[in-house]
Amino acid sequence: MKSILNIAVREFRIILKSKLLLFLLLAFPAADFLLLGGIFMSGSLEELPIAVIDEDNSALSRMIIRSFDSSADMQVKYRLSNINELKDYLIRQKVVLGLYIPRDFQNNIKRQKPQSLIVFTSASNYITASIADAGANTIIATLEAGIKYQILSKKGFSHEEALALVQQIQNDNMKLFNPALNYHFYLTPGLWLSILHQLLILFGALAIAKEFDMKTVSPMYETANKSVLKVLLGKTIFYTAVSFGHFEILYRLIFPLFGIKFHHWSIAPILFGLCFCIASISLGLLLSSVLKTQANAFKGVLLISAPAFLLSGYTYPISIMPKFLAVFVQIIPLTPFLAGFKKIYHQDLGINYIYPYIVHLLILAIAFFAASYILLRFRIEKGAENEN
Amino acid sequence: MKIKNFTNVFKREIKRIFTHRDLLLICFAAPMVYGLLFSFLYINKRAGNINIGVVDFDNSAISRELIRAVNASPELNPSGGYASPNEAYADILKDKIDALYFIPQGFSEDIKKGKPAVAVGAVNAGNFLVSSAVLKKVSAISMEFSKQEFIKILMRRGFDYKSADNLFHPLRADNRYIFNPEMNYSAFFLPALLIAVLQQILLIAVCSSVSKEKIDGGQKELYEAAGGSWTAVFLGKSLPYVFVGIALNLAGIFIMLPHNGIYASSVLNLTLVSTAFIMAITAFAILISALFNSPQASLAALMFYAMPTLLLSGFAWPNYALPIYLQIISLFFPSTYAVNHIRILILGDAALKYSILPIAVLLSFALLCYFAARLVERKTRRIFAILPKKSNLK
Repeated sequence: MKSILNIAVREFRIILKSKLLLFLLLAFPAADFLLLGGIFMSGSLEELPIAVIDEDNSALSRMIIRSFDSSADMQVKYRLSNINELKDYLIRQKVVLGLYIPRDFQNNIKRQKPQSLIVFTSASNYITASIADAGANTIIATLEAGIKYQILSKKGFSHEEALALVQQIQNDNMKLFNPALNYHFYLTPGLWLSILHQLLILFGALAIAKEFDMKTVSPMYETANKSVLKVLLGKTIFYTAVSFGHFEILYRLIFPLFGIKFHHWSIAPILFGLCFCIASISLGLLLSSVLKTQANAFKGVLLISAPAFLLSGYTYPISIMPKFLAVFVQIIPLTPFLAGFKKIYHQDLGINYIYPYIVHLLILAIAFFAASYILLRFRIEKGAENEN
Repeated sequence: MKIKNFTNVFKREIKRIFTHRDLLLICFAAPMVYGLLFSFLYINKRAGNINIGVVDFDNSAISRELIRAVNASPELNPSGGYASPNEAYADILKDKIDALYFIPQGFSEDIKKGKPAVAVGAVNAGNFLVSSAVLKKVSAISMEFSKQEFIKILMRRGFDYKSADNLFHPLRADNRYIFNPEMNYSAFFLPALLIAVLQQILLIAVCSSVSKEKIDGGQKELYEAAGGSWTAVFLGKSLPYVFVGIALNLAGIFIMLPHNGIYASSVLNLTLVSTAFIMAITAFAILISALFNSPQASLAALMFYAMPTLLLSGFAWPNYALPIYLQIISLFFPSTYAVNHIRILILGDAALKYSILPIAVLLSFALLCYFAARLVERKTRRIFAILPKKSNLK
């Protein structure tokens, strides 16, 4: 136990002497947390710029334009004269949606001839397109209901009858766990945790690589009483403790700073965070056992951890990924961690719901740790043989 | 700068790319792995077969017909057998289903009497892609499902079929999606990822190459090959990576994107903007390499750079919706001028006039990086570190 502690203390001293490692420990996560925290701060997209082509220029068409302009989602920024002009604005990304009201629109509605409002949506950005599309369709459905009601009333239907016919099936839709569909609450914590994941793998990767770079493997080995297991345990314990500091900063400081509520003081997030740290650091240790230098470790971590968030299933469900990819993503510690984190953070659930993810992370931790133990032992023994 | 000095450095760098295992892996193997990974990741294009638990308390012909309509939708995969909404909700918590659809008792009676009937939908909004697909589909099904009953009621009141049918939808939204007609998630994400991968690969490759010069002590050789000209070093070292970037970009446009059914139409225009972006990124990587003394420090800086710059580019969250301080910060990243525009060029057809401004900004950025790197080099001698003073060269 004493040798494990000595390795941890030794690691602490190395970090204090290295500006780069201090930068990685403190400045890198702080800067990324602050930058990423601000991106989705507005939570939802409001007043998306839209353009209108009104060829009817009637009371009804002006009422429709007012409805679009007064909705929270959209703002009529431009009144254009033709479709080509609208196309130009869409390519220049000045507007996300264009509404086209055809000639004789009001007259045809009065004649009870079904009419269409053409909605051109720039769908290159799925998020803005979804919001604008849903907003436009809601406004048009409301207008349609009004028109339908007026016609039915004129045809002799009572107020109640007309109202019931306007919307025969009413959908009472509930958006569970994020009723306002707030992007900030949804995406930002996941992005922060993916940064932490990158950092944890890097800690693990540099822990061994730097010893080889600085040619301090022998003193490290001596400190651990020539036990590779103690070396790895000492380093893992040290970086897990450091990462707990990061978790504390994230949960206690960054979350409240950006207005995100999270009940982190219960046992579930602490235990879960611990498993995540060990699994990610072990993956880093494994990488550093394979990649020989610090520079290689950096490159390896950069290349491996960059797509982890996209593959984690946090935004794009694993269930719709191809089978082989759905299996592959399970070996990335971020995947089970974010799945379990959603349970705690979004759904406010306890340990009963996250234990499968805890088991998943522990299996990964043991597998990575064991592999890095075998490889590091081989490297150290080979190095000793070469020296002899 | 003499052309010969530039060609010396250029040829030397090309040789290094193909003889150093690290650079070869970064420039060719890594993009191939990324390309395969991402093109398979979004192969299903959009959310489909979403598990939805159906609870039918009405158990009537109308409710069963409604369930059949849910069943027929390719987006939804209904699973019945739930005795109560609570039971279905428990399965949402266990991630067995993503949504529930509850038809209460008396639903069909209300419809027949011409009263509004209520159906309850609940969706796990912990995943926006799934929840928006479910909400959109459930609303559309409810809207269309009541048409038959509507027409029956109106015909009982003396309407003929045609006028009753016309009255069901007196006004419609004719939705036309520009650039991404099927509203595929893959068309939204893959072009942006192509640019992100390009940026990541070029930054790591250039920084690794300069780092290698520092570690292997190749600066003297580099210096001699360049005839002491900083411009020859800058151009000779960066142009091979510009060519690598162009090759990767074309591979993305002609292999990765078509694999997902995305076919770029403005290829020339696209190549011009992408090349300007590649030049800006390569120049920026040389500047980063000059700014930091150790290879590890420059790679650490890149680690900090990649994800925020992609998100600040406005590819998902529009730039105007960012807080002012982030809008200002985003102005200093080339990805802000490239990602959205390149995506539009990939998905749609745009004339060259739309690309003049982005190209001008990106090339100015490259030029700015050249001057900044030159200034840093003069002050620190980090790339020509073997000779601290210029007088020693003569």
